[in-house]
Amino acid sequence: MSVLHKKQAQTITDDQQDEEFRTFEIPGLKAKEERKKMRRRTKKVHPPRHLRMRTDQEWINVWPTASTFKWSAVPFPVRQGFVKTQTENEGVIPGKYANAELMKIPNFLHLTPGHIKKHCQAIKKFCTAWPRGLETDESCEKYFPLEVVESDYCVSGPSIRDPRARQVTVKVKLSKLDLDYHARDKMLRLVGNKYNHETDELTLTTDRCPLKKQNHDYAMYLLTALYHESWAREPWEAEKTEADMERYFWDQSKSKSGIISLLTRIKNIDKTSHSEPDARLIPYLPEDVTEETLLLLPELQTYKEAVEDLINEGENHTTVMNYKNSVKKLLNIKTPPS
Amino acid sequence: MSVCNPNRMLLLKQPIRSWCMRRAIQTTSVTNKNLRAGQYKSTIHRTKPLTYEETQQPFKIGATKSWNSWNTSNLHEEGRASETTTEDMFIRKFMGGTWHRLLASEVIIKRRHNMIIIACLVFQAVPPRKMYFLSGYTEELLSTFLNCPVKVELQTVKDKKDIIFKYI
Amino acid sequence: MATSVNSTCRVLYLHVQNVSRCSSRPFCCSYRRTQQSSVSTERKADHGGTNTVETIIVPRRKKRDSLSILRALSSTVGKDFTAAHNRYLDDPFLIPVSIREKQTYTLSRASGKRAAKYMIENHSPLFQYSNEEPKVQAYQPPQTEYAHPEPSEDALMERIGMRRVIDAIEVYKNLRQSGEKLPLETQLRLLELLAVYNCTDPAPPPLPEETVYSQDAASQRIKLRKTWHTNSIVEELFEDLPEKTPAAYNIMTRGMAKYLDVDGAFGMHKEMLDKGIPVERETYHTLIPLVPYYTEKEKWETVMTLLKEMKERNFQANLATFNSILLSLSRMAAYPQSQKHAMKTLVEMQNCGIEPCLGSWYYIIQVFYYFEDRQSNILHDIVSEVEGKQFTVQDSSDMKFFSNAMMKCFRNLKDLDLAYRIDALLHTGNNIRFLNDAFSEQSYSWYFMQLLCMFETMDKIMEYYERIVPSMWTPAASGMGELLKAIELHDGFEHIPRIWSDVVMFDYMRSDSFTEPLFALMTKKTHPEELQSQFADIAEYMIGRWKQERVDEYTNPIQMTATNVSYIIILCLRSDRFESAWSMFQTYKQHDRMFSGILSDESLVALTNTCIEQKQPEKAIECLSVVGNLGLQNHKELAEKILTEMDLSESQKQHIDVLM
Repeated sequence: MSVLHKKQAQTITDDQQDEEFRTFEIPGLKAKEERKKMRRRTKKVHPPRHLRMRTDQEWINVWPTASTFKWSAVPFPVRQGFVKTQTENEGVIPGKYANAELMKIPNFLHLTPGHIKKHCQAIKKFCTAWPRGLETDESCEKYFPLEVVESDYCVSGPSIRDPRARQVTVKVKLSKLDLDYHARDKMLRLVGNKYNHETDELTLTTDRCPLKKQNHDYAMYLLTALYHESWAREPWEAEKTEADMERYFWDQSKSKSGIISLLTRIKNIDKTSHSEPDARLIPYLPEDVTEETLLLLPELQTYKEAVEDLINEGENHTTVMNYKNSVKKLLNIKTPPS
Repeated sequence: MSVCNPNRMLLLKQPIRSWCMRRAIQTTSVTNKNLRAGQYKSTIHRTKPLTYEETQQPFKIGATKSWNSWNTSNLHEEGRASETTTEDMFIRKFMGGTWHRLLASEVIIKRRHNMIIIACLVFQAVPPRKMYFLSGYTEELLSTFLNCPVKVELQTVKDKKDIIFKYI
Repeated sequence: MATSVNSTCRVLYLHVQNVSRCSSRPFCCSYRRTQQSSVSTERKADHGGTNTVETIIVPRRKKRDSLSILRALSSTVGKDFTAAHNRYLDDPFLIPVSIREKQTYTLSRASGKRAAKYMIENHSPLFQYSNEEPKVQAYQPPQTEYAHPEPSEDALMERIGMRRVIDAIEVYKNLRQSGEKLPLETQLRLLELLAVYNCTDPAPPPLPEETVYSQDAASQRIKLRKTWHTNSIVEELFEDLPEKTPAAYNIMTRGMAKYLDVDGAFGMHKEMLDKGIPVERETYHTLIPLVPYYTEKEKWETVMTLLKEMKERNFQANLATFNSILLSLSRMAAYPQSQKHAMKTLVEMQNCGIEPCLGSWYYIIQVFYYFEDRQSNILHDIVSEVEGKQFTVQDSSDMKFFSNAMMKCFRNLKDLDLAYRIDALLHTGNNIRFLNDAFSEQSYSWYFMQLLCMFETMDKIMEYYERIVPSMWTPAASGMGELLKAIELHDGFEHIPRIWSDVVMFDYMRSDSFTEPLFALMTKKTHPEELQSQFADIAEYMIGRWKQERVDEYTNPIQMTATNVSYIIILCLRSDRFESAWSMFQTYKQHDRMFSGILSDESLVALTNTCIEQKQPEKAIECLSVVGNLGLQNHKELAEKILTEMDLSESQKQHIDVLM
């Protein structure tokens, strides 16, 4: 308060000294002096460098690696954007200057055909020739029957580890393995659904170890173990019953014993009642009817094959007809003349 | 929606009862897009400036607008999606604060191998030496924070007029 | 993008025909051993008779390491001459053009990094999260706390490991006070640390941006002086050693030599000889270069003595030995015998089968071309020797080779062909790395440019200029002056507009010491119309800029002399731009205090004549008055001319009479 009084006192005394009236300034009447605007000194921007580029320059020098789109370094005009009406950007698709859309998309200016050509020429020295003799897939399979599939994963992140990379797949065709009938059958039983019947390929996939190398070694061990196990005969395998049989074997079936007893009986009948060869029921039977001689008969062999096919393959036209024909031949059944 | 839609005028001419109490079935495919997100309110005198990015609404991403964040985390069986997204959010906030009032576009984040490449449009409002200071600072700090090389690739823009696409 | 790279390899599967082949597989072997007792294997090696497997020769994999492919790919990339250096951001606004801009931007970037490091250091708990594999050491925040805060032997070793010299000294002092006995090994390690870093903490490693600008003309001229701390903790420690091993003596000698305590180092050396303590080869490497500072006479003899000692100890000379000898010689370069000794050293190197590195060649150049008038063909021989070869960095002096070679080529030899060959060598392979800091680059390009301006045709000069400037090199103002001289010599006036645009970019038109010769050159003679109008544009730009800077209140506006003004006026008049010339004249009249000197008579005469042609009597009279004020000779002639050729009113005629 005291300050205010002081000021007022001062002005009054000044006035009294000046002996003039203070001029009354009507606001808005006199144009005020415009204060000089602080014009920010903007740096002069130089023309973009694509104007200085020669038309025969090497593009690989300008854009060696993947890089965000730089409008000043790209010598051709390019536009990106969608313009619906005349009101948007005056109906003009936005150009390359100040275009964030062009910066967003991945550009392939670092992989032009010229780039690829030069890269390939530079890397060629690390390549070796494809081995001679392995031109076809078949020859590859012949000399390199084992196939090992390993994957590496490349992800955009700070870590190079990927848990999927430890998986190892080993594929081999069972025909390339040295297996007899029992070994193959045992192998198939051991392996289960890892075997593909259509392509005859066994596929073992391992990922139980933390490292790829360990999984690879484990897969090899597994294959070797399977192989040896399938060759080995366990004592309890002798207890295989007919229910365990993988196929129908006529030699071990009731059909065999049935047919043999039938044929023996027919032979006996022939021997006793029909002495003329023409009147015999089954003329081709040998004199000495035993199991061994009967088995040698071709008619019986045909019958055996027909029955096995019928049961193993299933009933289709071919198998049924074969069976019919073989039975007719075996039992000497002739179709009566119409 | 413009009031001057001629079809609508026709509809208005008919008695109200006939066009609002009619049963109908949907004949086109149903799109459950959120068409209302990202819509700016238009002004009477058409003075609000919008950039291209703001003009295209979120449902246009993939059509007339591109993603701002490029990485592999959303592909089949690829992981690290949540960390990547959180890091992206952090980077955008960081850039917004460090480059105060200088960003002319959204921050574009690209991940390539273990590198992070940050691209954006920047106004020429500060002298270049300050921009170099900010870019050196950003690269060093984010590299240490995210534990991978971070590169900043800027494109400068003279003033706001250069990025205005539409007035709404 | 995610890619799963399936590496499908077909392995040559060894058909398991017998057991022996299988034995190579450890798993298989162990399996068989366990099963042998219970299993009877009945396999036969039957594969249908003889199985002839044709041999498929799979070629050996070509040797490559983790970086080979990247190196091969990078070798495909050449130099883009329109682009600025990689350390700058690629945008027209952000590409530096003048020398000051380049330095400022690089160092601002470094400054930003330092600011970030400061933040990280002060808030290191915020940066602890790291989930990457493998862990990158560079991105870990620096360790601020010690694992062993209390003084102990472990604490001492920790600090030695982290190179914290001051803290190590503190711990050692604590331990000494408490009377704890340290093992000899620890003491030796501490001695080594103190000797290498001279009892002070080493400076934080510079950022790459900072190393680029670490050198400049001033640092080149710093005289070497002793910085070794005598009577400090190092010497106390040395005295307190329970057993003064040869290693300890050698460490002390090398430390003293590094920090240029010449007397101390040689004193140590003498002590070692007297006591029969073996001197190591590396110690000799540090002593030999100091000989020129130790003795005034018999410098070379002293070096030979040291070498003889080395021979007695059966040391094999290596590149470092020869480099130390050559460094010593380069310090004795003023003596005429040094050249002879240098040649002998080279021959010796050849005999030992050691390839000289670029640093060795640098020293030899220093010896042979120490004085500017020394002529020698050694540089030719050196360049023939190293032509086409790619070098690796083996010595710190390698970096000085190219700029010095070019400097000597210009100063002593003035040979353009040799300069071209040196340039070709620089661009061979990766040799451009040897020109890594801004100062070397600047001096190299500067000397090369001078040679070109001296000997080459205008077209070639401009070709080189267009290529290099401003992406690789920004010429200093004196460099542009050389260019102007060349233009004058070769009559290349059509290049002036291009050079002027560069001058504006580099901001050299501020100083009138530069612009005056330029404008003088432009006004020397008349040129075809187009070129003349371009010159007039330049003149108008100058006027505009001068005025603008004063309106904008620049703190250091452009200064122009009156001679400059006269040149501008003449240029404008030659292109029939009377208004611009007149406005300049008016500006001069208004602010004639701001222009030092006076207008030349040529310009005033031209202006007056143009006024007469343009039929502007008032203006003509104004010119006449200025001519009169300045007291120029053509006063009377001009007045007469005006009177005769122009229609003047009475008042005007009177005015002229007054002036006369």
